[in-house]
Amino acid sequence: MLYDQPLPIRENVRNNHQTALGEIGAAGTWFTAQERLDILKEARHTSQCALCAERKVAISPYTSNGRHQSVTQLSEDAVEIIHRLMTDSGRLTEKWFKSVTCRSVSPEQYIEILGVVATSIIVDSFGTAIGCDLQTPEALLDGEPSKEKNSQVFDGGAWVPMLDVAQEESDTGLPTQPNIGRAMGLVPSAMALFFPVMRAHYSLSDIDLDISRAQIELVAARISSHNQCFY
Amino acid sequence: MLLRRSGEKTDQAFHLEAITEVDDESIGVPDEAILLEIADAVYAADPVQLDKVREQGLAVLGAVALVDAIGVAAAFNGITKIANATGIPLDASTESQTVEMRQKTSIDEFAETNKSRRWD
Repeated sequence: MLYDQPLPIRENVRNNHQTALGEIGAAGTWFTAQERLDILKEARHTSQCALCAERKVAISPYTSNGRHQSVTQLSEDAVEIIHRLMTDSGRLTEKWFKSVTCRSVSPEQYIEILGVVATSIIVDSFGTAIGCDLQTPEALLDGEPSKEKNSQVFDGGAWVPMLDVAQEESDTGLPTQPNIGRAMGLVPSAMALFFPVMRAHYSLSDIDLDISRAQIELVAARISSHNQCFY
Repeated sequence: MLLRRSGEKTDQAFHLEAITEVDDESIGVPDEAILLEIADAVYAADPVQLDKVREQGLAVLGAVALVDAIGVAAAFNGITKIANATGIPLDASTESQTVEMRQKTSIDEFAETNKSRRWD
């Protein structure tokens, strides 16, 4: 059983994490099951990468050249994306984004990588913090990526096209679908992988946790600050 | 940025500058010390630091609240990567309502234009 330890884990958390791990091990929209497992494997290895460690302490990450210590057969651009997401996402720029999506990785593939990495960060951060070993899903090798493009996107001022949906103002003062919920609109399966896991832990409203709204937002704000997140 | 709004709803004023470590005054949130330690430990992912913070969190918050706080920290550790990696702009309402707060807390330093100017 996932998270077999004495702390009380909410059932929806356990179920959503288990489901997400299973989905990472299945074919996505642009990557096979094995490639998605390689993305997960690469992400979990980044803490051992000497280039990432060097860049992390450099005044600018764009001054350190070299090769990442990769443990998969993923393309160099894919490896660069995964390593930077994991170790230095706060200093990503649009220029960097364009440089890693003009050769072997398309913007759609970039979003799928992002979805897998961001989801695995939640699962792994949570598991590690409650004192459990990381879980690796089995690859479901039947099934191919659909490679289906989503046309329901628009230029909303992000580096990538965002999901185009009708908007209203919610009682939080934010739109019903804030930009963060539309950022991965280029690949709906990436959104479908990530957001159930996210919502098991946090929602703008209607979430029953044992800490207050102010305490929730305090933790969220501190983590956002560590990650140098403007949004 | 929703901590500011949370304070407005409950008629509380939080000292937000301490979150981004602009200064070290009290923020004004109950049990803030252990909650910040939990967030710091989840971000650092250091097993020794996590062992220590779990023990302290159990004593101060209790088991359910501890796990909930860890969950929020883990969730934001993931979702911030999406924001950072896609360059999404602030939602219009947030942008117009947080000008002063973003300056005070130095969050504006994290804006795409500033990142590009500093590191490209």
